[in-house]
Amino acid sequence: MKRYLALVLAALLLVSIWSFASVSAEDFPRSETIYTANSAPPTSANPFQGGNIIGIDGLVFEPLFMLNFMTTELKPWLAEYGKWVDSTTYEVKLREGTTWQDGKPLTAEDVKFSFEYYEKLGLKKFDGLSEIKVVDDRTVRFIFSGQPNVWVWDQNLYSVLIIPKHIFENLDPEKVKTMTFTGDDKKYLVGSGAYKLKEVVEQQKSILERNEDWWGAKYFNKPAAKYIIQLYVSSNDQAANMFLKGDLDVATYYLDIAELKKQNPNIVSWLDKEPYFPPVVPVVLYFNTEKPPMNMPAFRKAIAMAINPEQIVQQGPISAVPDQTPLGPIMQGWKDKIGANDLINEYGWKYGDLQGAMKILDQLGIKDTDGDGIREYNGKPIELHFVTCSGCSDWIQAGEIIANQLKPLGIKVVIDKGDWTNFFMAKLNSGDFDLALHWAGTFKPDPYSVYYNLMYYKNETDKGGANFGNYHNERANELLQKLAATPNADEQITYLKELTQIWLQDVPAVPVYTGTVFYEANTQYWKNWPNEKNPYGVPIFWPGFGTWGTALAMLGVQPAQAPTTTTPSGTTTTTTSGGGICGPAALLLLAVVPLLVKRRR
Amino acid sequence: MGFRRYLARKTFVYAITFLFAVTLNWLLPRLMPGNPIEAMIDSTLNLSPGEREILIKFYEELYGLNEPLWQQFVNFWVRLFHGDLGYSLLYKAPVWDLIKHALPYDIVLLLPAIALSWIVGNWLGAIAGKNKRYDRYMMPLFYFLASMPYFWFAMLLVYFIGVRAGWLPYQGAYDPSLLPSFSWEFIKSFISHWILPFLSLFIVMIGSWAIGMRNMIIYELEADYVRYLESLGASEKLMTKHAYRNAILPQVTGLALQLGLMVAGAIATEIVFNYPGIGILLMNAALSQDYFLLQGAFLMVVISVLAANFIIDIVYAFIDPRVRTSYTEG
Repeated sequence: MKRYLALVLAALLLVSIWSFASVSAEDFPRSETIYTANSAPPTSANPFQGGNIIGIDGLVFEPLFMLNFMTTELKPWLAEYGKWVDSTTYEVKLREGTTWQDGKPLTAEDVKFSFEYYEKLGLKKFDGLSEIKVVDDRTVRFIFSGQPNVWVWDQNLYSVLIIPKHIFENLDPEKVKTMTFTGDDKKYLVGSGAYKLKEVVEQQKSILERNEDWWGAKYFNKPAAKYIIQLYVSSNDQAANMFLKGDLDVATYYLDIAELKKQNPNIVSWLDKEPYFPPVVPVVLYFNTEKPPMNMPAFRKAIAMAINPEQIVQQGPISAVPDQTPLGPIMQGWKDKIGANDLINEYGWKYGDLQGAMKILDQLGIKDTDGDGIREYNGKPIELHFVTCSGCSDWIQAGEIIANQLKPLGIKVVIDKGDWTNFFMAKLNSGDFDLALHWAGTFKPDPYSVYYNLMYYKNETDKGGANFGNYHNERANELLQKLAATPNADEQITYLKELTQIWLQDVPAVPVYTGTVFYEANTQYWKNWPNEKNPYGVPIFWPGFGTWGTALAMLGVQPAQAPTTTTPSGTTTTTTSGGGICGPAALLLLAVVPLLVKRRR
Repeated sequence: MGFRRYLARKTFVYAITFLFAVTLNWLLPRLMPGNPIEAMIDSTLNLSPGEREILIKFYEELYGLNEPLWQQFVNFWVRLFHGDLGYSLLYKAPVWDLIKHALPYDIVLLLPAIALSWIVGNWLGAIAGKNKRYDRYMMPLFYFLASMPYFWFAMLLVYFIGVRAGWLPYQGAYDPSLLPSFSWEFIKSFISHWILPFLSLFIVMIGSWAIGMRNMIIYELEADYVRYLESLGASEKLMTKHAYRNAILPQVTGLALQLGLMVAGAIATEIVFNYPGIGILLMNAALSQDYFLLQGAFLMVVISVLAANFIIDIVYAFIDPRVRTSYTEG
């Protein structure tokens, strides 16, 4: 009986293995393959849904322009150039010789079709766009009926993927919305990019294979890696182990780079010293500007002055010290043009200036009258509620440091925690908070969007996406409107200058530290990863950020060694050895030995 | 009442239970506070001004969440009977596709682990019930195995056997450089990746099966019918055989329950070993309020629990005389 059972089990095992056998085995030479990973498995290659395969946008499908998020610059890609020929007409000229992966030419018709398709799907609305006119095979004109928002338009240039008309015009948009473009549907996934989707192994990995006939090879370098394999690695510990062993080349996990470097000197990140990770955008401390006394700019400024970012950076989350503007390190180019440093000197405040902060509060008449160390406002001691989420340990830590820094100023800060969606975001959206940290307003690709998100306010429904504090200033609205309408660089600088000045004087929020994104790469097999000194690509290896510069990074890496004769990849990465069965056998033996004891009742 | 009526009655009860359970599966995620679409969109970060509203509308229409709740409920049942489990919010793929690819891993890991640990555990437990000396030093071990936190044990295996000793791979279902295929290399890789998660489950489960069996055996050996047999001078073998047959019944029920939970019974294993089964899907779905994936995964759980119980009800009719009597006489 037992023998049969064993047989049945063995058969079952074999059958289940058989059921995986959908794809044939293949070798991916380690020296020609980039391994990356994501904490969610690759399951969908749908270019419109964002997909969850790194590089579907940018490497397989391409935009007109690529954004380099780290420098906020647009790099002409499919487009040779794009420009405003007058205030309501934007002209794009395609590069010569652009083709689809199936060999058909990529023309202006495809560009027109793509923009219209996004609207048809309901994924985008191009405000004011009245007509897309194909001038010739390589030229297309976007004609607006009113004054377009030039910044939002720029964002469309890199976020709209150009798709082949000859394939997608035969597909029902309703169906396309939920297609995964894997399995049999893979045949519809014809892009123009440097890579083709070779295979998606559900829940586990995706494999991109180089497109040998890529049109871009003559403008940009042909990518060095033949394959890009995206693995599913859910935890930081696993990622760390894989980096140490050289099984991963690049990824976005929270790892201790200093510690990793000790064990494997090939590990690199954006900086070669602390904090290693690329500082990207400032994390700002919001004030609920509708609640007294925080409705007074002077009061907000006093708090800003009492905060000392040096301390937060030293004791708190891995980051860098910000300046007083919400424009982070990635906006350095803009900041130079605006003259941000001069503006800060002229209108700004100094961080960690407790005496100055006290003086302001004294002048406002906010004083400690009952001698308990806490200042009163309208007869009540000032107690501010810092709202955050219980899982956000970095924010909690920063919040505690801020609370300590505000204590000597005579302001009590209470930290309230809850879950992300129903407590934290709900409180932010409903304005039921005093203080809160967030980066949502600053994680934007241009200065307009940063200021728009943080400062624009018409009414409760028409306001900047991250204006949680409901900051309201008519002049700022006006400036944003003017800024939105002008492609003229000089005018843009003028408006941005004044917006920065308003920001510094009104202090709608305070940058308290610079948030980093996680990034680590291994130079054992691939070198020339983007870094601070060579920011040609963006160190964000999340799905959906391909056209933000991930694709640029993937296309720029170089093999660390000259390609050798192909070695079977299995041997370099497997951990199984001859002794593989010893461990379990020993364990089993341990359990069996007692049975050898003579049975006796 | 014959066997056929017994079967009909059981089928009816199971059908009602199924309807009720699936309805609950549909309803519960929706009673969770918060809006999954807003949460999803808020986490994308890279929206241009004004794009949020457009996307919310797009996704609400795509998922039918803009319709009144009763309409969603009707749609859900209509789709379910067409075999459509919906489209995952989190993975952006049809739920059935996700489940279809995850399910084999659960089965291949849990079925042998449950079945083998049941056989071995019962065997060891029965010996412990009879053999005092063996009992003295094996039972503490079984209690230790059964009561220690599973997560911790699995991590120990990963650390000592996988990382420190390097005997076995400890993460994933097969080597990352391979594609699933019916090649010798893949099978070798698959099996070596399968051993540790299997062992972690197998060893822990042995403990609880053995404890259950040992206690039942001791109880049965003290029962009147065994004493009677003893006084008649029956052989030890005969007494054990009768005791064993009685002691095994509750263990069969336990086996059914375990097999029923097979579909999602290894969440912890899958997390620790990064094994791509339904457990991980279920966890991620719950974390991101992915209504559709939650429904789909729970549907699998409901079906397998009900199926396992249904089968055991029928098996009982054959192996337990008391059940047989209930429908032949009652």
